[in-house]
Amino acid sequence: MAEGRGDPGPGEIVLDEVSLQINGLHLGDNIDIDGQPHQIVGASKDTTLLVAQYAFVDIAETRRLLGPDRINFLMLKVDPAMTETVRQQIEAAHPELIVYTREEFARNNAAVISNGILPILAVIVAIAVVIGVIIVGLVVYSATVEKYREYGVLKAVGAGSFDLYKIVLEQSIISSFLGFFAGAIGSIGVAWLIHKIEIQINVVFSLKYFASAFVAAIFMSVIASYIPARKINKIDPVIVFKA
Amino acid sequence: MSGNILELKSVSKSYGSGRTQIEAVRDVNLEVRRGEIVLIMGPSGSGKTTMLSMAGGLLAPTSGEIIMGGQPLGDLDSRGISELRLRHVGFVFQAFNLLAGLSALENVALVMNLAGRRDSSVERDSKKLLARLGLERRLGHVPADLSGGEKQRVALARALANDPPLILADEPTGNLDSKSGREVMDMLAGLAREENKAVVIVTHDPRIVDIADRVFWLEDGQLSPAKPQSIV
Repeated sequence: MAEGRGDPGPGEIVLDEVSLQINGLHLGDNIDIDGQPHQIVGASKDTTLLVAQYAFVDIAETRRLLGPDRINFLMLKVDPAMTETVRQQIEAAHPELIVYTREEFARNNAAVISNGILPILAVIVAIAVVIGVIIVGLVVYSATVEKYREYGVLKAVGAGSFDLYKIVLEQSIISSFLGFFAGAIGSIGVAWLIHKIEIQINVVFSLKYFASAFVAAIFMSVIASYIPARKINKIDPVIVFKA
Repeated sequence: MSGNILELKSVSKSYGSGRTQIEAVRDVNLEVRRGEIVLIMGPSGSGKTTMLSMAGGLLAPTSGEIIMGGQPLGDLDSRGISELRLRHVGFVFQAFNLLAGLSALENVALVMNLAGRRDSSVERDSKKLLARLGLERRLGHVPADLSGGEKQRVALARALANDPPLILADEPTGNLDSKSGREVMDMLAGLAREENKAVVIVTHDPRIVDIADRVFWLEDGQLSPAKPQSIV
């Protein structure tokens, strides 16, 4: 609960905090459901979907308001040890109903997201990785070309190819680190801004996502340093004699 | 072991092929011993830099053999040559070729780092070397803040950083006024004699002939002992 009570009685309702904000409502205000006033007694938290928010009323009140035929699904909290028994009893009593366990329900929802949104996100991520590699590669390539003669000097005084690769890789990793930190801070900022503009969109970050992005940044820097490293390998150290 | 620091045996280098082939260096023989300063003079385009590049293992000869510190370069792969160059040769270039983003101290320390030295002695030895060349007050200065003579002295310190027995210098006074050029050459000669190093200098600056033990004349790719009139 974000605020207020979570146990609405007859004539009372709990709304999601996003609903309250979107509609300019406050605890104690009344809203009409089928022409009957209900007082808002609580604001729930994390009960918003992208396009809709949950509302909570007493079950008897729900039946009274909507009638038994207008309920499309019910969530039951049961003792985990009794799950299968309860399921069989419901299916026996109401063969017209489909009963899912908590795990099945979660799996079905995940499948909907996986089939619908994840392929699109995967394409976006793949494009982002390619663009990232190109940008880091160009940054490092430009730095390499700019310092072409200096690499030649290093080669002339005895630096081995591995020493030079190390310099290129270091530059590449530093570029990726800077990009990663700027991106991470930018993402948090943009997420905050989006939430301010569209309150129902709440972007959740976790350490796991940042760690994945960090690993991806390292991977991109290694790939991005390939072409500059090849260029360095081809530098003829004799250029150091050219005035 | 012959005791020579550097040997060039019948070394030739040609560029191109067929009618456009140019022979930059022809059948050059040269032996350089520890503690001696060898000057190679000649007009522009005579093959001096090509010869120095080959002597430093930067360029492979078309034919002949180059032996550095008793090690024939032809027996080494590019990694082996780089490793030998790092520890056995110090280069001094006409254009100084210092790394622009690094201070004088860092330019010298970098070469020690490349040789695998990472401890605190690197900074100490780099400072000591620069101080010997009169640059103790310029340690933190980047090349852009140094005069030509100072840059060449930093380059000299860099060449000496890994205590190589051989110094190869390409027109070291080419970008310096006569006074700075003289100073740098006197320092190079002094250090070389003090530390028993071999020095090969290619130049067309006759003013530095007096520091050399032997002077050669290179013309049309052919090396011969210099006659006084050719130096003039």
